[in-house]
Amino acid sequence: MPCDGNVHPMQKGHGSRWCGTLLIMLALVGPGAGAQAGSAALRGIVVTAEGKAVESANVFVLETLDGVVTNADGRFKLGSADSVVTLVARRLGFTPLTFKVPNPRPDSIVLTLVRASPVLSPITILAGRYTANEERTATLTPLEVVTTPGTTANVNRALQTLPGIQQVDEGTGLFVRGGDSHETKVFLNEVAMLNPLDIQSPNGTFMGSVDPFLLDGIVFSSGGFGARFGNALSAAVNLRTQGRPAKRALSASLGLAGVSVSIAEPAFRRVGLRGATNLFDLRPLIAVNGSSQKYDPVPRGSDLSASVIASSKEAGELTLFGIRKTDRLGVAFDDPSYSGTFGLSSNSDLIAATWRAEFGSLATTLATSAGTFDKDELYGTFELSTRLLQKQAFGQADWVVSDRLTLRSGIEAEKVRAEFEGSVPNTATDVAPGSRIRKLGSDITGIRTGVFAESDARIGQRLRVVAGARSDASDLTDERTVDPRVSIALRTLKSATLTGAWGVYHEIPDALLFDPVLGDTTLRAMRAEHSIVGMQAGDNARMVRVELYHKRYSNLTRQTQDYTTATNGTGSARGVDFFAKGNAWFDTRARLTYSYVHSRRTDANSGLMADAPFDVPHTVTLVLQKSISNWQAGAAYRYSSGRPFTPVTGASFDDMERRWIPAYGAPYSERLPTLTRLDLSLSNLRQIAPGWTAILYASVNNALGRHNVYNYTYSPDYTERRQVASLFDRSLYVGATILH
Amino acid sequence: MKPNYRALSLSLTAMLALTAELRAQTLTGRDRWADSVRVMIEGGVRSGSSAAIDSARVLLERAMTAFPNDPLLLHYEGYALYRKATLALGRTGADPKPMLEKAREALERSSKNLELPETFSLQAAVYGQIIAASKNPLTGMTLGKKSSDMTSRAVEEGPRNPRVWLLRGIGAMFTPEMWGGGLGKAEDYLKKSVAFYETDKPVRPLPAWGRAEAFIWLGQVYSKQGKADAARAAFEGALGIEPDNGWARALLTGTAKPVGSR
Repeated sequence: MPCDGNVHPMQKGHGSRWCGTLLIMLALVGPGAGAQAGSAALRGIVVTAEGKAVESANVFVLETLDGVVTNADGRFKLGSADSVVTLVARRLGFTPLTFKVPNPRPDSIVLTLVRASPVLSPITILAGRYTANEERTATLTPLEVVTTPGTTANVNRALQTLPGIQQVDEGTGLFVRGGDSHETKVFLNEVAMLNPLDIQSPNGTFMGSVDPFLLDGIVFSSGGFGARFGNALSAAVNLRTQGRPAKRALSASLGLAGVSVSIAEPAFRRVGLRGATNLFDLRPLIAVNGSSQKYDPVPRGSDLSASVIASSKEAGELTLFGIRKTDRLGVAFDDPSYSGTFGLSSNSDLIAATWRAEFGSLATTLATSAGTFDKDELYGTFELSTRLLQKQAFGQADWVVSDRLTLRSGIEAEKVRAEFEGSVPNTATDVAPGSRIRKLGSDITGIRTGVFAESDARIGQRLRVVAGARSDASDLTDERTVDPRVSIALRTLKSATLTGAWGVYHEIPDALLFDPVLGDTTLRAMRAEHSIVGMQAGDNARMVRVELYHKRYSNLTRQTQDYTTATNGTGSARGVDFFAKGNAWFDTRARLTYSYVHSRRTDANSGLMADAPFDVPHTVTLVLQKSISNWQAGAAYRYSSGRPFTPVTGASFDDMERRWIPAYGAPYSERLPTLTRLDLSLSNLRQIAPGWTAILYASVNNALGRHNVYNYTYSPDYTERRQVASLFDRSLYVGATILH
Repeated sequence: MKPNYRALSLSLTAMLALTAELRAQTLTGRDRWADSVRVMIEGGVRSGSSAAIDSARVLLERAMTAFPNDPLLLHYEGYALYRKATLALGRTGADPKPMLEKAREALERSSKNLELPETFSLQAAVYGQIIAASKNPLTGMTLGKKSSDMTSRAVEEGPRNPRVWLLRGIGAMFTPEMWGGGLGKAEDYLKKSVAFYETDKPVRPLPAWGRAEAFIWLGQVYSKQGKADAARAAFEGALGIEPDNGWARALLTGTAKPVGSR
């Protein structure tokens, strides 16, 4: 920013305050009496604060832009007939200087340039936010999702390779920094996706995901995120769908687990269309690899999505995005009280309209969406149908006040109607047909409104402060919460940045927990407080990062194993995340992640403080990728501590109920064995016809055939503990994609 | 006697500035400076002088002090940096990546407020050069798509813009056939470019560069295809437009080899 020199030279010595370190900027040499006003040449010299001549400084008259470059002695000479003249001196590495030449003009002008802080790129690093690539605006790109071994092109599995996410089970749930998976909220084009009590299967927690090729970028924050994101206790994932296609594109994939087709078409001058469909069916994969589990039906599903994108410079970009997903699976499961098939089917729809536009320094975003989610679960006497209907509206305005300050504020409203119907057993230890049950038939509607405001300020070249607050009100909890949040990044050396964040976060418990039969209608919003400090050295291409965090929880609500609701839980999580990426041996790209966490919570069943069910102290992920010509090879190694569980220490036979009643040890006092797996992938790109490219790929998941254990179950009398193992000990996957 | 390159460079710069100034005289305000910068960059490109392009950037710096964030000036900032990076690419030890990143930033900022076909084409070219300068293959996969999208956008905005087809032709020359490039494609695009230059009448201070260059690149494609006569005719075509074009002359006389030749 130019520094205005239009003040009396004597005042300069005391500092023109906003110029900061600009001390003495100029001195006028000579009385100037001899100078002829308005006609004399402007002569002078440009020097540093230490008095050294500045060569190659750009000295010019602001009114006419006539100018010269100083010579080796720092001298300049300019002709100007104007009576009012403003001189500007600029040189890379110095603060620009503006000087209004007095009338009469002096014989010689000395312009003193003060060294600026090294010109650094804007600070984009924030506590809790990582980038796995060289792109400046996304944590992960779709290509990274599909090229990371072991991710099976699933966004959540790719995110699981980032720091701060614990590998609790074999599923796709995002357990972030000692938090439960429901504490991570996923936003698609600014609207929250429905994520009702994540789908629980015997092998893990599964969360809905989106085809990575529908996406333009994925931004993930593992904590300390800003006021924009509400109703999320631990983490936020922000998905952006692709913009208007510039040209026609087609792709088709066929693999052992499914088939997919996508098309992009620039329909009109300012309008583009995108469509995609995926059908997945694990039957071929199981036929090739076998499986440790029996399915009926084998997991299968489909999704169909379409978007219309209209954009122009004047009116901004309007995106209409719709997606429909269906999933079905049945898996045999042995419970002490019942051996049968766990059946699950779900259907979901989401349609979202998002408008983004810029009007000068004001950027606006408006979004609205409607979604439904239907889920049927069946296992013995557990028979639950869930139907959720969600409507949302979101508006945000960003005002770029200057290069250094952006003000942001917004509002949002969300209405969720939840209908539950069916029955649940009185206790999870007795789900056999004929066991005692409780009938459900509730219809719960909740409205949440939120407002937020924050400022994003860059103070000098080294400090960035994002400070704001949000407030949410829910008619389910009948309370208003206020969440102040602040995040700081301070660049200390050329490529080292210290980060810190602190904030309060609230989340409304799942609607099922407000059910009058199973839950509690007086629940309050769950609360978490994040404190984070960290340091990053290096840039996006090669960097090392360490973050320490501490989270404190209160008002936690959790379902017990007997399907009742435990309230007023507390807890804490503290840990450290380490992340390094760069080029390793032989130009191999490498990403190494290590996360340590110790997470404690009130046990929902006993009311005692214990390790959290998802407390996985050590998680290590190493991803290596290497390209040679048209070949790309990758390897991913994952290690994680086993999660804790509450052991059964004995059992007694109940003559009345005709079944064994387990006795439990201390809550979460034992752990599953450690999990390790090595995934390998290889792909080849080749042209098959002009304009047509084929990608052939093969992967071996769990290449070492490690027998990982994700859970335990028991014999009917609880004398024998049985392992619930991985779906596949070792599996081969092959497929091909054709692109045009 | 050892030639005084610094004096030579300064004289050349002064001449370019004077020429640019004279030609821009009928324009006023921002347009006048944008046009001067345009002419100076072109002079630098013709003579292969990085110093002359730096002089254009000196003038740009002045203009952008008076007209901060002006999209046309930002376009020329990106264009100047692209040209400077292109000159640096051929030199041992030069690292063009910082210049390309700056060019990328300037062009992205420009295209937010001014939809010039040339800006989109230059963005595509800059992405292509960043890919070439990067060792990370994922950069190619990510920016390659962006580059392709920007090229399509440029063609959409300027279907008969010869500079769009010129940059597309150059891009195709360095893109494997698998990814939609190749010498055949490059020849087609460059021929289109040459044809569109016949009716190209940009209004000052809009971009007007590249006519002789289109012949030079077409000649290089011919040369790589083994069509010596066609290549010679193309280089002569370039000299017909710019008799002082040293690059065309060097290629014609064989003192320089086509880009990418060993």
